[in-house]
Amino acid sequence: MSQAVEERHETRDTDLGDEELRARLSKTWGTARGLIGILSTVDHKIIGIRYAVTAFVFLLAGGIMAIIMRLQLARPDSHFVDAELYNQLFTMHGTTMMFLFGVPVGEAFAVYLLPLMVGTRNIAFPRLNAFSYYVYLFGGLMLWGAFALSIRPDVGWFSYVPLANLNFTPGKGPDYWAQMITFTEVAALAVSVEIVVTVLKQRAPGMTLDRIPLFVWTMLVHSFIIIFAMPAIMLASSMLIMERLVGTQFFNPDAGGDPLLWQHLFWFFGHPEVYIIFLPGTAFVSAIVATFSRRPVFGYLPMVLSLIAIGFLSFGLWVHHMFVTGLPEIGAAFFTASSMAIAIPNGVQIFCWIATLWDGKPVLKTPLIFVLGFFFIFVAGGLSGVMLASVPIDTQVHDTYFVVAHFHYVLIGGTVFPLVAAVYYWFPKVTGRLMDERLGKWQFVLAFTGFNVTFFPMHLLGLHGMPRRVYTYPAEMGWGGLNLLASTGALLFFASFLLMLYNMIASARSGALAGDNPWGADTLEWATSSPPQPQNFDRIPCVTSGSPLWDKGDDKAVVGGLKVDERELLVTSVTEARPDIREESPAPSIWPFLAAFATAVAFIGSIYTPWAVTWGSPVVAIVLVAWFWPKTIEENV
Amino acid sequence: MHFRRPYETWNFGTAACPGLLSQLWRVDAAKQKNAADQAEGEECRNVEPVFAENPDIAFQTHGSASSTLYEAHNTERDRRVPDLVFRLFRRASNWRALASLPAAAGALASGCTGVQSALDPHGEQADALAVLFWIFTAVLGLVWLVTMAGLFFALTRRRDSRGEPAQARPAVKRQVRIAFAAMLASTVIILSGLTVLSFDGQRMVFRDEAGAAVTISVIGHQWWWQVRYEGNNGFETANEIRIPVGSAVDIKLTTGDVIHSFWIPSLAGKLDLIPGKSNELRIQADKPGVYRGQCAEFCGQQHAHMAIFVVALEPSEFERWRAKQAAPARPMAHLTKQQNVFASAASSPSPALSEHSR
Repeated sequence: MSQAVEERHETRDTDLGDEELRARLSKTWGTARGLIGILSTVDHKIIGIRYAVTAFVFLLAGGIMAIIMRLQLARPDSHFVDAELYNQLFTMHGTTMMFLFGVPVGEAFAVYLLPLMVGTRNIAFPRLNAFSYYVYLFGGLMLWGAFALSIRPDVGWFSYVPLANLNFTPGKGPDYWAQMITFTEVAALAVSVEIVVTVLKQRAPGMTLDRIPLFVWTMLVHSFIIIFAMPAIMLASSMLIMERLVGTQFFNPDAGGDPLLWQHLFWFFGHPEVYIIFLPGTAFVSAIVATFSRRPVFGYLPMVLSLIAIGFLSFGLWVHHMFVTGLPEIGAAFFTASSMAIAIPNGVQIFCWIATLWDGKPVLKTPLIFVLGFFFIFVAGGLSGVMLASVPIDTQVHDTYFVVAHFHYVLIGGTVFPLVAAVYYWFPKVTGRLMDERLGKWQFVLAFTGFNVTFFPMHLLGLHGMPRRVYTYPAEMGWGGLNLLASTGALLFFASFLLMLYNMIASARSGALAGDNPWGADTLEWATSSPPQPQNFDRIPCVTSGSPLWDKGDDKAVVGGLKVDERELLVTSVTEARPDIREESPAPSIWPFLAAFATAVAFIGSIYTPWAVTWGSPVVAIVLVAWFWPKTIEENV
Repeated sequence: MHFRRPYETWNFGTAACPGLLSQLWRVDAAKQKNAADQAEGEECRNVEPVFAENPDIAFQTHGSASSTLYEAHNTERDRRVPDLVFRLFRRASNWRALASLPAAAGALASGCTGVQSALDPHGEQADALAVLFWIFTAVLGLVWLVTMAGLFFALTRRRDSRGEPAQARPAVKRQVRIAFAAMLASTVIILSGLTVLSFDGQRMVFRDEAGAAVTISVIGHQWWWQVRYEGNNGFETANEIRIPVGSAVDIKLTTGDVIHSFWIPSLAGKLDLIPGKSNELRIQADKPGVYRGQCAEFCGQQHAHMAIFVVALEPSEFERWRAKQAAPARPMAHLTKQQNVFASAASSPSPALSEHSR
């Protein structure tokens, strides 16, 4: 045995020069060519890009839905689309934006960036990562495929029972909706587990808990929220499917059920969901504010504590979505207080960022400009959220366009503006080329104007009595002018995304070359080449501060000793990030793709017959056995 | 119990629910008046329910009087100062008013925020809610301004040295710490204050006082409102509630099918109608008038057209109307026929609707 080891002559990274090391590592960690190779890859960067591209396609699809709705509402008594189609449109818009864009896009950035930021070679459980992407893709394709085939959910992204029950909504629309939830939940849970393990066990040596970039902290909290919130919606959607498929009576008051049970379960997930979508936005802001202020974010400890507080508090707010269901007074009052309370950690974050800008030397590049737009819009949205936290005010504005305005201010202001900033910021890392600054600034003008012109009037519309989810309104209501204004803004806002798309495509071809660290940033993803090699880092960096690239001195410490010809990465301790063991990282495999396919077939089949669960499970089990079939492992000696 | 519906003469043959609303509204001839008149805000209220035209059915008290009801609204509204800001916004976005600027100026004096506005309160509860809303808006608007001013200052303040390299561990200045602590403390104070205000306002919504003058049951259906006046001489109406001015009215909310939400913005906040649950809302109107509301919880295909009108009458008129409604019904033959038309006209039959007409 020991002779065999000697004969194999393990090469370690300490044995080789830079050039040869890079070439050999890149061969070890690379992705094979050909269809099988493409489907088998476990490279977190490739999967992250696929995640992001898919999410952006869904963003455009959801955006087109929104534009059609705005065209319908531009004039009173309009017949551009009919009631049926309109209801399908807002259902698909909400569902797509929340489940197929909002959640996955944050994960896309995390999947791509986190391993780079913590200085490791791949994400934890890379095959699970591949699996999660395919499950997400199949879930999205299923929902939109059904839509194309005119099987369209039309009961809102919230699917309140009893409206979503079989007797009020026959047809398969809500079943597809509920099953899509199951798909995206599985995907999101898988990614969250990977993120948690990557952050806690694969950090570069020396990256103690108090040196983790705020981006990483944020995504860690984000992942824990997903892990605790998603089971509620998974339970709810399964109950809905069972209600419709096998006639359970969870929500039927005549049989001892309760329609409010659905609302509790849905919003127990639904409010944390808001933070699941919003936190990646704050992660982008923290990274960008630090880089362009030339300072680490002010108040690291308050920032981290705020994030954790947001994580906990986000589970104690769900009832503010149900203030007008006739709850007991004290119950409702409690949730007023808790909803107000979450404004405090959010305020802390805002103040810390502003203090950073104050103390630093802000450089007004496109990413920072979009972050400034975030401040303007998100703070306004957060403050209108304080209004909604108040039970009495909520009884007037609940389910009106005021709420529509509020959550678009929060979600677009809080997530999409930072997201656009993040695209401009990390595009050079991903492609090696910078995006065009001039177009970026024009895009900002278009997006900022378009957004505010679209959504500010909606506050007024809501106060003027316009409820949500109405496909038209009579001219006598006096809502025509503001609606026309909002629709005009929506076109501008949509155009800004087309401009971004153009900028991305043009810059990917002929943008200025970026180099490793075009913005002079401080985190580890900028320490490697742009785009990064398959192995991320030729030598694993050693970290001695929270801003490793801003430390004095040119020589950067590295650790050595990892195998070169096998996929091996370093596992470190949770708090101190002390090197612990060398761990094998799984190689590419086609089985995650096949497992996702089998899962998708079983899920879709279960929309039509409960037997699909029975017959699908053994198939999925067989694929999983093949996936995890033990190989002869040679122990590291 | 006698069934009597004010819509019994409507022509349901032409359209199903989408037509319902256009049937309900008749734009007054005044709407065709010149632009200046329009801009004075009259068009906001010079629509009236079609049932006013039909003296045969229940509503003969008003005929021409209903237009005076609307005027009463307009003058009443003027004492609410913050509305002025609001009118500005509304007017600014209304291109028709912009087309005639002098008239638009007149709009400032007598404009309006629409026929179904939470900012145009005409009842005790809606009044309190509007005041609370404006307090929140003022305080939070100020917070937003201060935050933006801080951001602006942070970006534009003069810097001692330019082009200084990035710093991994900058010495944090004392004034930044103090400003941060001050901002945090004021956030906590402001939020606590608003929470207390909210609790105070909430008592109003949840106030449980006995002795409402009238109790009315409202039963939600896809996509209409069944209104039942309780008592010995109970009777029913649809999509229309009449109440006496100045008295508290309790509305019992239940649903016959899915979840709906009962909302008359000018009178009170909304409350859901939930299967297996009975909710109660108290409304009160200060002035005679017609107050529009509509379902606020998505309830299916024609949710957009599920409107309801609250007609507030002087107490004496209300009593006269009530007595007439409670009187023995005329022969029911034509009513039955009407219901059949109702059922056949529904283009997309819903279980609830057909069940009802059966």
